[in-house]
Amino acid sequence: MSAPPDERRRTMSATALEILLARLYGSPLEVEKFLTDRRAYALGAGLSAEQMPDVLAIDAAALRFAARSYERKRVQR
Amino acid sequence: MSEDRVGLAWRDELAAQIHLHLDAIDHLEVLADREFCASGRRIDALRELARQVPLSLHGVSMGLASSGAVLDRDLARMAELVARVEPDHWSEHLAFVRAGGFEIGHLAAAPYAPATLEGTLRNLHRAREVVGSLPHVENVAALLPPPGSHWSEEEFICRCVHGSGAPLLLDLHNLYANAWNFGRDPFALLLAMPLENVHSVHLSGGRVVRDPGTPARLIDDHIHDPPGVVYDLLEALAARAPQGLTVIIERDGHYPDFANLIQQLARARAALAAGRRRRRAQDHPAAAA
Repeated sequence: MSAPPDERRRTMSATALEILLARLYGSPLEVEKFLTDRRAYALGAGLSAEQMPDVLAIDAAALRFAARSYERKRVQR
Repeated sequence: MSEDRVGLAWRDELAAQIHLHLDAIDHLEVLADREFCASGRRIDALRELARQVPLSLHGVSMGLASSGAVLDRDLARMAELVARVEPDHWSEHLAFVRAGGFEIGHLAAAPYAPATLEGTLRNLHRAREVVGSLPHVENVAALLPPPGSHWSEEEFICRCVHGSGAPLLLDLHNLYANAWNFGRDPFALLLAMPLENVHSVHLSGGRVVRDPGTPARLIDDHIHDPPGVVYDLLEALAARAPQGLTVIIERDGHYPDFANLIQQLARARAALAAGRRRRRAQDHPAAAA
């Protein structure tokens, strides 16, 4: 039995958000693209209207720091 | 009350000293991901070690905390390793490591949201089916509050643990780092965790990093000694949680003299004992007076 439409929509938008976060955490270059035009980047990633405010409000310095930190960890490995 | 255990994370660099001091070590934790391609002889040695001292296998790359499914490959290789080594238990992080083919390459915090919770519970159910037991699930350090969150970190962890029945591996330095980075009281955060479900504990250290233009962040790097506050948190945990705790000190580099690591084990035992005394005094104030 397939999931109800509301649940499917919620899972799809959660997946879109996770993909956007994985792209950002995985690449400082993607972070810079995102910060250049957050709304366009988020729309292109398929985020829902209700997810948009959280993504537009991400602290730029903290995001840059996180992406650089994850990059350092990858290099160390 | 079950017995507390205090032990170390196994690292090959420490192997000789660990064998020499096995009497002082109640538990060993082996990084599972480094053993997935191990030779048969190495697996035999790990199984032999697991017969001498309680041993757990610790995974770092499964990515349980996600609305997406854990990779079948990751579950299958953990299941094979668990079957071959026969550990006391296995553990993994409540972390988000990949999505849509993009690998973060490290442990990140997923959105604390209903879809993540549902995915995490599905992943844990599947892990139990494939591996044969639930992992102890570990809290992670976050570098920024996960966007798209509906709950706090502790609410999310409570829901994961209560929804799945998985024991909690509480990393006290990760907890301290999240409190430090997001302006919270670490002892209040500790008390908001599902302490009755904590069965194992990680102690480690880190450092404060100040990048230009960025607020200072406490990073959990495993190459520094656990700070005093982490032992204070362990004492507070032992004062609250009646069940036996397996405490593991993690160190990934810049190894000190082994005598120093033995002192850290002793300090953890002392913190546990102090917490247990506090608990007895709370339960039986007349006897303590």
